[in-house]
Amino acid sequence: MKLIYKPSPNYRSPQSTSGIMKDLTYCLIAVTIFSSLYYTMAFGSNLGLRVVLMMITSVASALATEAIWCKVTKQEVIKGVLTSYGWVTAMILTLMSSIKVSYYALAVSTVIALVFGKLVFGGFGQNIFNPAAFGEAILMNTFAGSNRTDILTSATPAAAMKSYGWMTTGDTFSTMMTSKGFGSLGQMFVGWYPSAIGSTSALLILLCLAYLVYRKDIDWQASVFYIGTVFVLSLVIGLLHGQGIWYPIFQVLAGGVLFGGVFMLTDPVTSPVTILGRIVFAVGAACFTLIFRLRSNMPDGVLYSILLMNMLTPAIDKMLEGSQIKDIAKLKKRAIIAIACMALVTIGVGAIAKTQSAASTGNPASVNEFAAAIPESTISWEGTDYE
Amino acid sequence: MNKQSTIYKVLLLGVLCAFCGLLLSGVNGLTAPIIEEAAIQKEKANLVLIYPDAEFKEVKDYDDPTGLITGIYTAEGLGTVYKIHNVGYNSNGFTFLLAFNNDGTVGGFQVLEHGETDGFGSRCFDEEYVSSVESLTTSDSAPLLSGATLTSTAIKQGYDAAKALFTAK
Amino acid sequence: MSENNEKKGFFSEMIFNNPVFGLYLGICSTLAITTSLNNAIGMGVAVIVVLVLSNIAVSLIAPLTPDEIHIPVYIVIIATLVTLVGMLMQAYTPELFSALGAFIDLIVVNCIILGRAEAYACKNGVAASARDGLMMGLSYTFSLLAMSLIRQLLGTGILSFSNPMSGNEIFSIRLIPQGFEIPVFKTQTGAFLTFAVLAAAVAAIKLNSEAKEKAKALEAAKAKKKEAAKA
Repeated sequence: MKLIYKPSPNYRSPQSTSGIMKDLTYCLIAVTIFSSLYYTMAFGSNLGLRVVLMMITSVASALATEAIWCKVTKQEVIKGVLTSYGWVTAMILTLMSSIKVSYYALAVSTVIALVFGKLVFGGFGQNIFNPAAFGEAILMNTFAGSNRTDILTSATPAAAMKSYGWMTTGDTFSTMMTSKGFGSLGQMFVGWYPSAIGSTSALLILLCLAYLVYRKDIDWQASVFYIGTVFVLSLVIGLLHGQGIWYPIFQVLAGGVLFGGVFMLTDPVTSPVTILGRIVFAVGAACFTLIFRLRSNMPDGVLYSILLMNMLTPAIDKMLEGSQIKDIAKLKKRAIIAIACMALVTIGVGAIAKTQSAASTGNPASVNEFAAAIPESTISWEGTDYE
Repeated sequence: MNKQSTIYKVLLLGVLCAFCGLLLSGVNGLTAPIIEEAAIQKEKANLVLIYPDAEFKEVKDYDDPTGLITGIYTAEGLGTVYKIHNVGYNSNGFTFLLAFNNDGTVGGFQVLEHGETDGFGSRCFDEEYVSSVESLTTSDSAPLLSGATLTSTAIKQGYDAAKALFTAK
Repeated sequence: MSENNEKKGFFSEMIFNNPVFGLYLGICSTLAITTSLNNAIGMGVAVIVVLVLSNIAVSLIAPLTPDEIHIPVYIVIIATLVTLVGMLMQAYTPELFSALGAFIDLIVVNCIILGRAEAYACKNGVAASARDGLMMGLSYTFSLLAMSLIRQLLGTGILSFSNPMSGNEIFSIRLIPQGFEIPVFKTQTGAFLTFAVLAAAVAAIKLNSEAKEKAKALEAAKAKKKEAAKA
């Protein structure tokens, strides 16, 4: 008997691929509307309009790219574009970017994301990496300087926290929240602060999660385990340094944890096939997120943690024997060992993080020495403004 | 001679290496002075800020445990110039020249490029601080400047490194 | 007919035996330095010089060299040549030298050089080896130029070339307006992406021409059969 392996979602599930993508699109539109409203009310209708225009630019580039690709590879254009769902990638990419990104940079990144992230691999369902994450990595790394417009000069919460090495005292945290305009954690939950376009409103994203799970578009395990692990591990790390409950809550609310956890981690093409695999995948991503936040040069670790775990998906599938589930107990044991190792490493990294009460530009040793005597470091801080 | 014998192999390799060695040393003799001249030319634009009209020679071998010294140039009959790179506030660091006259007094203190904060760390490169450094000798140390702690500490560390090398000569 | 073959010979050597996109040799330096036309031509010329001279030297020494020590002998020759070229470049074309940096010394381990020495020069005469070195060097340079053209154009928007010895600019045209260049092509990411596209293009040409050859051979066989049947 010939076994045909198809990447999920399969047609046995209550939702078809087009149904899932439709629901996803609705959610992304909802996030876009919220973001546009926020920017209009907080900064004027120029910026609100800009959000919409950026979305249009990205989607248009995506559709054009896929149409050209279909033409070149001699496929039927309309059908090819509609079943390739390029606009979903475009929308996620736009929502991950900062509002300062120029239209040109966004368009080029969308093209590169689709061509090199999805189309050369064989199109929808064949890619290894989440194309939106790939596009965002390109956007961040190469368009950072020249193609950014100076619309807003405020920092994002992740970037602000990064200047303290993602580990600081409660007092410094409150000062940072008020001085940078993030308000309270409650305000962050609703999402009324500037950051990447789509990842601000925790409330809205959680509603989207509920909707998508209810409509059986995604498995709840991946998102919940990702957000949960970030929360639990940062709680442990925070407690090791004597920080309160605000620390894990901030870790979850700031940056792309919620957005990535709901819209990118759950991509069935690039995550493992089994539920157990997806749990390991989610925990791994959470661990990497925290490690990158604490120790890397980037303000937020979500993007690259997702890309790294995408790369490990085949290994996870192999470890948990992918589509043939033979001995569940053995597989569960393997999964638990993997999770335990990753968690321990993360806690270890967190334990050696230094508490900083003064912002630094990446020189922890000297800051600890001169923290008291330096007025300059809290005044003229320039951070990065994307996540 | 038998090609497979060890003597033949040794001889072949030996002759080959000797020939190549001669060729290399010949070309080296031709090109080395040009390369050295070019290197000094590049630095000269900066070095004349301290000792105008001097003949500079680069010192290649020096033992600097701090790693802050990126170049040493001697000015015939005048003194020695040290090119120092250290990190103050801006993580990219800054580069400056510090010269000791042959009699042990400071011959010059000149910043080449820096990204220190305007109004804070940059005060270390203003007239007041610069002249205070230029009045020092090898028995002193560069002073710290309040409000520019990181930058002046970096200068102090560089000063001490140069001093160590200068007095060790 | 024979002229066609001659032309096809040169072209096909450039594409099909292309060391970089066909045989995947010397990729390291290709990815690293192809950010400008200057670098490409500078490195290409250096490799051609080393390749031709080393092929000549190896083809002269090979008959004298017993098999066991042929690797150290070839390496000594190649290393000497590379060092000589490096010294001359440092003295007479200092800007190019610092732009190419460590990759000049890395020519020693560029697989193309040792590869051709082992595969061709040690078995053939001096003239043939020299020609082989020249052809391989030229197609390597051609690959570098292709990569650099794309990367410099898309990455900086300008196509420019300066005299390597004096540093004077010979030409500089801006083809993509300021602010519309794509900086990713200046970085290693862009290098890999460009390389992938060019390698795919070469593979496509190869496959295409192979398919055409097969079709032609099939046609010819059919025609022969018909003739035989008629007769």
